[in-house]
Amino acid sequence: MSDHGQRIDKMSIRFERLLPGPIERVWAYLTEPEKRAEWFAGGVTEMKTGGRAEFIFNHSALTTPDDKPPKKFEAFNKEMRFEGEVLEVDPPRLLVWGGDDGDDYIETRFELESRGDKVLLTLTETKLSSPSRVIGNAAGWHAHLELLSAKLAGETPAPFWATHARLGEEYEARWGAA
Amino acid sequence: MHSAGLDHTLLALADPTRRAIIARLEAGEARVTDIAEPFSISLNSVSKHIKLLERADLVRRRKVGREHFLSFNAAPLDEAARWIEEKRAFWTSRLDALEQALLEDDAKRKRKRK
Repeated sequence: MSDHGQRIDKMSIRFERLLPGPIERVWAYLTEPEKRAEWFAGGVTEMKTGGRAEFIFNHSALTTPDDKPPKKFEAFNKEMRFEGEVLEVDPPRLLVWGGDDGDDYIETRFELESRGDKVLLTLTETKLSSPSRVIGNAAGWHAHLELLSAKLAGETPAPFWATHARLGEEYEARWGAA
Repeated sequence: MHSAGLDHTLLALADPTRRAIIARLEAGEARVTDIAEPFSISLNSVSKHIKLLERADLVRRRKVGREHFLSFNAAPLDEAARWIEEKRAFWTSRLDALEQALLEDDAKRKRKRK
């Protein structure tokens, strides 16, 4: 299993992570605001199809004070709130977020499966609207999943922004325009 | 006096995420995807904020082929600033009058005591 995301078609990416279980614990990290805020974004997820999915990001809280964002993200390195929609939910195995923007109908699908005392997380993001979105979201999800893996394993994660920048270059090298 | 423009401006500004988007656009034009870039979420979630900023005419959209470029437009801030300045001036003059009345009252009392 590669840590890097796979490009399953032109506009879709997939990540797999084998995480310490049990499955309910990993599910809590996907759905409970305080736990999810530790690796991605806080916010309440309404557990029904068509429910509200709130995302409260605070990237500065994900890392150490000396780990600065790139200049283009500086304005966004504090609390930022967004709202999406729950497309499918089946605790503790399946959660899908999405939203339609005309040009972009992204779907973010989390699937969990017990594997002994571990849990296989499969994250699939489909219908991204452009090649730069594919690379940007791959770097973003990879960096967030590094935090999740470290939290669940009780380890100290590497600084978020430094990891994000390194991964951005790696995905650009893999998938960027030749 | 009612102005839908002022309602839209104040509503658009009454949110830290939208103010951060304005701060980003002050640095120059950006696409919706540039604004969404650090957040792995759907563009739709970002577009909800952009639409409120566009309704207030604080953000303008320029289409080049499939790309949409967003820029900041400061003009609606003039109306908001004018409204705030009018209220500020009105209340400052009222408070000046109140201060004057109190000072006069104070002086009267002092004269009586003598």
